[in-house]
Amino acid sequence: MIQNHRASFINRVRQSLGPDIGPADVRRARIFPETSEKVSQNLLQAVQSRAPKERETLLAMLMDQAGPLHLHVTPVADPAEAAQQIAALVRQKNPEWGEKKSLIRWSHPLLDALDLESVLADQHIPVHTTAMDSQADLQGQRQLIRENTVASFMGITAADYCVADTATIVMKTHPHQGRAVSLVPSVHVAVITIDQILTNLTELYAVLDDEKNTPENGLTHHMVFISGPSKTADIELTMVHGAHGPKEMHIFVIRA
Amino acid sequence: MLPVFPEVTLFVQCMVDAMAPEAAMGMVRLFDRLGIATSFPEDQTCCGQPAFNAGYRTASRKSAMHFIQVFENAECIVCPSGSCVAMVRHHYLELFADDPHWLARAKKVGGNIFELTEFLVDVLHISDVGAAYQGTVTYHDSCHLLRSLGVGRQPRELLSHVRGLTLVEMAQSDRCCGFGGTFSIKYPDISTALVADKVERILETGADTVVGCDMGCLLNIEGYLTRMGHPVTVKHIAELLAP
Amino acid sequence: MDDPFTTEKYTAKSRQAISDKRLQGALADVQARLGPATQTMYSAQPEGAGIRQQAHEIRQRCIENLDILLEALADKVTGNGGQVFFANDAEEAVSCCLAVAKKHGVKTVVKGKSMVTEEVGLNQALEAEGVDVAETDLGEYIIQLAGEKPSHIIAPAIHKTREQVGQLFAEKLGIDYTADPAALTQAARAVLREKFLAADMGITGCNLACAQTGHITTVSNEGNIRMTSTLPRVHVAFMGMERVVATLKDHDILFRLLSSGAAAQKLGGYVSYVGGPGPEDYPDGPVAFHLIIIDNGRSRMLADPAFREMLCCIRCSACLNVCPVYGKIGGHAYGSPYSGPVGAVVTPLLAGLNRAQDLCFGETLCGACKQACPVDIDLPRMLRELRFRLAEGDETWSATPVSKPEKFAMDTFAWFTSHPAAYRAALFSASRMQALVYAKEGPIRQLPGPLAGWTRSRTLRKISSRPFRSQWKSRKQPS
Ligand code: SF4
Repeated sequence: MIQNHRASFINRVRQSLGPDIGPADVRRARIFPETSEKVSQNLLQAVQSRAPKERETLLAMLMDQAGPLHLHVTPVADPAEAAQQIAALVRQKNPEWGEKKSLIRWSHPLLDALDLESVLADQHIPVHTTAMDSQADLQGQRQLIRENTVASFMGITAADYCVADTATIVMKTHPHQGRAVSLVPSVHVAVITIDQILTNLTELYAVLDDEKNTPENGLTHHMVFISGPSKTADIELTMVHGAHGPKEMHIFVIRA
Repeated sequence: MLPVFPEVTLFVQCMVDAMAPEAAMGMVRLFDRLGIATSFPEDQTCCGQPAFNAGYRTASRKSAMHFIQVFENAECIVCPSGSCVAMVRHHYLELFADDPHWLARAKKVGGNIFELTEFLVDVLHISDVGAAYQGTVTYHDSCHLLRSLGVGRQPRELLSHVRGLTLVEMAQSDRCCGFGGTFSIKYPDISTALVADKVERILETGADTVVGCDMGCLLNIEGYLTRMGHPVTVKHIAELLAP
Repeated sequence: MDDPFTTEKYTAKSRQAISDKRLQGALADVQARLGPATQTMYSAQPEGAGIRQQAHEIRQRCIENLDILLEALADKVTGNGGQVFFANDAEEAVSCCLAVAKKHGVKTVVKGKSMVTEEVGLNQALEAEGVDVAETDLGEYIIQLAGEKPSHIIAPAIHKTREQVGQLFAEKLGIDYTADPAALTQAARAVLREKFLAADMGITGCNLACAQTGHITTVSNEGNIRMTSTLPRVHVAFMGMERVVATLKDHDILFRLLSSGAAAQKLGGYVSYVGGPGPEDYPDGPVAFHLIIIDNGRSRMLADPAFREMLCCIRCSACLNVCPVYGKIGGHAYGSPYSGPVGAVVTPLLAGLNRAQDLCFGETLCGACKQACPVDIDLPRMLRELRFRLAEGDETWSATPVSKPEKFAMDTFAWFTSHPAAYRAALFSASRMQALVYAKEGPIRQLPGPLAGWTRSRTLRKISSRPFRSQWKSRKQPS
């Protein structure tokens, strides 16, 4: 491997900053404040104590913002209705690559509760998951998951949060939850519950900031914000949906 | 009530002095009419802006020092050019950043200088100077006046009170006309492309007169209009406001 | 290594662009769509119109603590199982990437749009090693197929018509000719999908990084950067060393502004935070993550108080979308991956002042860029500063004075301005001389020597035979 110059690199940066910058530890303490601000504490409280009526307002706001982004948001009463809606979508849509219809989904309690396997049984649609058995051959499992993800025309995920103001879903990376599920299939479906909706990015960041140091729920090694289907305007500024990622995106919001 | 000014000291931008004396005369008549005494220090020359923008700071500083010496005892300096005022008010501070003595003097002068329309509207609180002009007029926002001094509303307010004058806004009135000092000579193709667009915007309005507050832009626009044979009159706002 | 700069061709290329009718239309279109819209987006932020100044302060504070932020970022990424490499220059950055490619037996690479990789000439280096490199941003892919260079930071193929893209795709991808953007996008989608799935390594840039949490962040609307950083086994990210901010809160504000500035969006379609490779027992994602942090001349900007501000730039391209000069000459004229107002300042600092002197002098200093910049960077000030170094020479940047005659002219003019009697005399004699040379009535139609450029398309008003100062003397005093 070639030589890494970290020490001399940082040192040159420090020299370039000039002689009056002050000791590094003092500056470090200043630039990474220990305590979070009062404002974000207040925001957190607001999030935690949100009344059902306020949640409905946020849902309405989410639907307003989602429209122009070609993001379909559908409120549903319960997991069973979500499953029915997904089944209807599956029936309606044709695969973009190949003929066969199959699905890939996260292994996640909310999605498990939809019991898509049974709901889709009459359509004979295989439902794959991205669950991993850490005791078995990891390479082989990853390979299989990859193949299933690529073969699926629809990917189903949950999410950690949803931001109404920007119509964004936020997904950290947890075990058994493939990143490519929301990316490679032509249709991405996210199922969330109404209490996961936050007002805006400021609220989201207050929440993320609050949990950034908890080991199991920090920002994780990879986090993604998705606001609608893939799109491009690179040819004469004409908007086209489905550049590389999903052409279509749906969010089902469970009210109960 | 007008605030009491013992006297307004005129700084007539070098370009106005040499090529548009009627604009400066208009300004003088305007102040006469408002009952404000004017003086014109005859030793004034140039504020140093052309050299400054071209990078020649040593040369610019020389002009600027002279300017400061001529004007530092004036209580209220008024100038019919936005870019010169921006130069004195803002850029002198940059020019003398490492010279505390001159910096202090520059600050003082910079605090006392006003662009003509800014002075009339913001300082004197006059928007009707009693002028009349028969014609359809469109207004060009010159860059430094608008972005460095924040002056765009004031000239429009003055124009809207001129009897007989119809003001029509052009599209992108705040888009640069392509003058840019030495830029227009060093990069004539780009400069021309920009002034051509500007003139297109002017013609679209159907106005018979284009008005601005900076002679540089106006010479540029006028030069292109004339060469292309478009019968649009170019006027400095002072000419138009002069009774 | 290939030289990424062709700044000497500024004048010739601008002339070419100005005479290209279609390009003029495309540039006007992109500016009309994005220019005014960004302004509206800024003031719609919850922080209000002052958000740009606030962002400027954040960036300035980050840059002033860059050493600390880079250390913190590197520690976190390393702690997360990633590798961080500090590259002093382009060559080191490229060799690091080549070494990683070799170690992992990489044959094919997919790339997300990244200007810094263009700055270091990465693609050519990889190709020279026999690695197949595919740009995946649709615009970048188009120009890669065409063998051209990007002409806009976020819309790289803005100079090509749909018909041109149609012909290009018919020829290179073997599809039937079509000029329908949707069909063309679909064709590229199909080809690139195979490339994503087959690639051994994904290379991306980095829009911002958050030191406190140890993530780099990328944004795209197409999803190509997510593909690039998710599907291949190895992910390599290139980052200009200035891109880091301290906290999540800083990141929030800057990312919103980046989205607004770049595409008048509240938030880009896909924003990814990458902190390292995932554990092996996760279902997917790269198993190796390398972050290459690049200096390549940036510490020189940092060390010069006049140019340090340039490191606050987040490369959003908002300044391009309002610049009247960019709107006429397009991106290629700048001869650099960085075009428009940001390019006019950054490129000379990277490529050399004298070499890129046309970029320093070729603007009108109208100030539209500063007003459009989401972090309120004073680009006109830095352009003047560059001109100053070039006009009078400057050791730190090894700049030599550009023009003796111009300097002489400026010095002479300055002398006159500080000698009023001489100035007056010169003014009157110029007026008289001019009457002799241009005897005809009306304005001047042809100026001599270096001034001739003006009269090629314009006339010039003559110096008055009675300048104001003489009229003032003879005026009647009001009674
Ligand atoms: S200078 Fe400002 S507007 Fe231009 S790219 Fe950089 S951040 Fe964006």
